[in-house]
Amino acid sequence: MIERTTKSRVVFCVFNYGLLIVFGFLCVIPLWHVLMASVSDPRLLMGSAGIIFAPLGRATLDGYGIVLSNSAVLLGYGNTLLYVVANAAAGTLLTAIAGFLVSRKNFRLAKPLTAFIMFTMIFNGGLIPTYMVIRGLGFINTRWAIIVPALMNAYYVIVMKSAFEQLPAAYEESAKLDGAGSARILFQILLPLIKPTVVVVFMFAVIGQWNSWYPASIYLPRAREKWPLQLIMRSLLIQNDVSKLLTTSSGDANHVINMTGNLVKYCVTVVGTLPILIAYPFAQRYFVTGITLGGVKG
Amino acid sequence: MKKIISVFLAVILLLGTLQTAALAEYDKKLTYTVFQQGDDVPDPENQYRNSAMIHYWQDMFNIELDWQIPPQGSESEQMNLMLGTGDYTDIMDMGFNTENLGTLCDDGTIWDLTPYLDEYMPNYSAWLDANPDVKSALFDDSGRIYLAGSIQEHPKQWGGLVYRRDILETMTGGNVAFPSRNAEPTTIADWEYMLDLMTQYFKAAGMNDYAGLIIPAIGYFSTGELISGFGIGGADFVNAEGQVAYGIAEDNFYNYLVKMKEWYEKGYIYGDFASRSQDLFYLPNTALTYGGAAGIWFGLVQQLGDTMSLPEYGLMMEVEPLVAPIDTDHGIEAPAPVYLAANRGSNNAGWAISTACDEEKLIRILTAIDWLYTAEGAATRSMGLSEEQGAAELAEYTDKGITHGARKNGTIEWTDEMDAAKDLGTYEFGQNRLPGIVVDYKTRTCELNEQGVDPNVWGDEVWTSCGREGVFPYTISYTAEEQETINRINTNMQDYAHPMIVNFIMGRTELTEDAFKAYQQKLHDLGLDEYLSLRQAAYDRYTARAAD
Repeated sequence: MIERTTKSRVVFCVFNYGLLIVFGFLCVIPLWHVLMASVSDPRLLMGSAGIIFAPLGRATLDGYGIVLSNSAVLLGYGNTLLYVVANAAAGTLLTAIAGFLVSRKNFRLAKPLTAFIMFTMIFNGGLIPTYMVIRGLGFINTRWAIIVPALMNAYYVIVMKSAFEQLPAAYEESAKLDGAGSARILFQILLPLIKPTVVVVFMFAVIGQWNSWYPASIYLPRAREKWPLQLIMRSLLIQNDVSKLLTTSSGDANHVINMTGNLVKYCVTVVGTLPILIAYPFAQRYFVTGITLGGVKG
Repeated sequence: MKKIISVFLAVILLLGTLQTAALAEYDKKLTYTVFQQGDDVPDPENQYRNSAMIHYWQDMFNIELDWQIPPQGSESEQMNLMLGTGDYTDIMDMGFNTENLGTLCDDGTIWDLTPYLDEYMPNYSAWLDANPDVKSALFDDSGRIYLAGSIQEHPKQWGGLVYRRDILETMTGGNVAFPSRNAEPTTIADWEYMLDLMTQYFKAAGMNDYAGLIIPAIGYFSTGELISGFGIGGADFVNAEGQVAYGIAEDNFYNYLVKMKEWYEKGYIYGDFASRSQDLFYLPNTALTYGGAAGIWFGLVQQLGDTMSLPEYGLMMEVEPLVAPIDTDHGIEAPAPVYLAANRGSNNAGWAISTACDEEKLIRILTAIDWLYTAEGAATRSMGLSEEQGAAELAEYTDKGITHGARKNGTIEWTDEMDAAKDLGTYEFGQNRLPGIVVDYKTRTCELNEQGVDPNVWGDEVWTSCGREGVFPYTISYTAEEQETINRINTNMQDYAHPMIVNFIMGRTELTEDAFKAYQQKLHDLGLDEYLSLRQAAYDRYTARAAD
C-alpha cells in the first residue's frame, strides 16, 4: 500500500523525527561527555564546567592505562563474566522450567505455586534474614552466594509462564500423541516457539548480573578476589565521599584532589559500561516481541 | 671461684628459662579477623597483605591478621550487618560505628578493655595518663575504655580558608596595601579591599561565572571558618565563660548575616552558592577554583603555593592560607578558634576487640597493640621499617631504591630516600586507623633539618593561629538517650535555620533585628535550651575526666 503524503503527515513526521533526534541526543550526550572526559587532561578536567564535547587539552589515554593495568579491575572483569555466564545460562534454563511448570493447566499445584512466586515479588525477608540464610548455607565468601540467589527471578518466571500460556494447547497434545515426554515437549517443541521471550529473559539476566554489585558487597566481605567489576568500580567512584573524611581521625583530605584519580573515574565508567553497550543492540530486536509475546492476551 | 661460676651458670640458666618461657608465650600462632575500612588506601587488600611493617609486627607477636575490608561506601551497612547478625570479626575498626560503645559492651559484643589496661597495655595506659585530653575522649562516663585508639600526636589542620594572592599583586602592581596596614588581610575592611580587587580582576578578564568568595550552600561554615571572625567558633563551640553555645543562635550571628547580605548584594559572594548543595565544603565548585575564577574559598593544604597553576595555559595562581576577617566594628579582637583537627583521639578511631575473641586471644592482641604505643612502635607504624629492622633485605623497600629503610638507624628521622620515593606509595606502611600514635615524622624531620616550608605546616600555622581553646570536642561521649535527643533537636533546628540563613543572605527574607530575634526564638522553641543543657552536661563530664 502506498501511503498518501499529506501536509499534516509531513508536519507530523518532521515533529516526530525531530523529537526523537533531540531525545536521542539527550541519551547520547552524557555518554559522549564521559568518553571525552576520560581522554582529557586531568588538571583541565578539574577546572571544567558543563558538558565536554571534545577532549580538554592534549588527548591522553593515561587513565585507561592505569585502569587496565589495575589487577583488581581485570580480576573484576573475569568475575563478572563468570557470574554473567553462569546466571544467564543456568538462570534462563531454570526460569524456563519453572515457567513451563506453572503454566500447565493439568498441574494441580500450578496456581498455589504461582501465588507463592508472586508473593515473593511483593514481600521479602529483608537483609539480615536473607544474610542468615546465605550464611546457613555456607555460601558467605564463596561464588555461590552470588550465583545461586540470582538463578531464579519471580518476574522472569511470570513472563515465561505467560509466554507458554500463549501457545495453543495443540502443540503439546500432538507431541504427547507422538510419545514425547515433558522434557522433550519443553526443550524441543515449546521453547523454540517462544525464542524471543527466552532471549529477553536471557538478556535481562545478563544486564542484571552485569550491573549487580550489592549482593557481592554483602556476601563477599572477605573475598575481594571474587568481587565483580561493578563493586570494584563503585569503590573507585565513591572515594570522594565526604562521610569518610569526617570520620577519620586524621581528617586527611588531600587524597580527594588526586586529579589522576578523577580522570580514572571516567575511564572506569567507560570500561565498565562499554561491553554491555555493545551487546545491547544485538538483542534489541527481540525485546518488544519477547515481552509482548509473554504479556499480551488475546 | 666455684661458687661464683655456679651462681653465674645459675643466672644464665634462669635467664634462658625465662627467655624460653617468653618465647613459649607466643608459641602458638593466633589468627584474627579484622574489619577495617580502607578508603584512604588505593589497594587496601594488597597494601595490608604486603606491608612490611604489618608483617614485622605480626611476626613479633606470632599473630596473623585476616583483613575484612568493606567496599567503599558500604562501611556503615557492613558494620550494622555484622552487629545485627552477630557475625563479627575478632577486631573491629569503629570508624563507622554509630552505636554507643557502652551499649555494645553491655550487650556482650565488645570487650571492656579497662581491666586489662594496666597489665597488658602499660604503654597505652601510660600514654593516656600523660595525655588527659585523649584519655577523657576515650574513656566514657562510667570510667570504661573500649578502644585501642588511633591517636594523633600533633594533628594538623588539613584545610581552611585560602585566597588568591596573585590577583592582589596583579591588580596593585605588587603594592598590596590593606587598610589595617597588615601584610595579610585581617579585618573586614581588609577583606572588602581584597574582594573588590578580585571582582575587578574577574570582570576585567571577561569572566561571566566567577566568585570572589565561595561559601557553603547552607550560608556558613559549620566548622567555624568565616563566622569565627564574628566571635563564633562554629556550629557548636565553648564561649569565653566556658558555656557551650550554638553558633547560629548567637547574637553575633546577626552581624555575620548583615555582612554576608551586604557582600552578596555587592557581588562579592558567589551568586549560585545556595544551589551547590552537593559540593563538598572542602572542595567547592572545582570549575571555579581550578578554573582560576575564584578568589577565596575553603581550600586544602595541597592547594597552597603555585600548585594550582597551569603555566602551559598562562594560568598562574598563588594560593595562600587565610584566617577569618575580624569584626572590629562590634568589638571582636581576634577570630575564634576553628573546629577541624582539634582532637587528637576519638572514640570512633581505633580498634575494639569483639567477644568473638576468647580471653587468651584478647590478651595476645592487646599486648601486640600496646607495642604500637611505644616510641619504637609509633615510629615503625608511621614510617615503616629501618635498616636494622630488616628493610634492606626487603624487595618492598629496595625495589623503590630505599636501601636504608624508612628511617635512619637509631633515630626517628625520615630518610631522604623515603622522601624521594614518596610517589611510590611509601607513606602507607602503617595506616592512620591502625592503633597507636600517629606521628608526622616527615614534617618533623623537615623542621629539624630546616628544609623549607611544608604546606602542611604553613597551612596549619595560619589556620590554627587563634589557638584551639574554646573548640567544642567532637569526641565527647553521650549516653544513648542523650545522643538521640541531641540528634533529633539538632536536625529540627538545622531544617529550620539553614533555609532561613540562605534567605537572609540572599535578601529573600528581610533581615532586621526583629526578624533575627524571631529566628532565635524559633530555635528556642525547637529545643535549643535542652540541646545546650545536654551538650553542657556532657562537656562538663568530659572536662572533669580530663582534670582527674
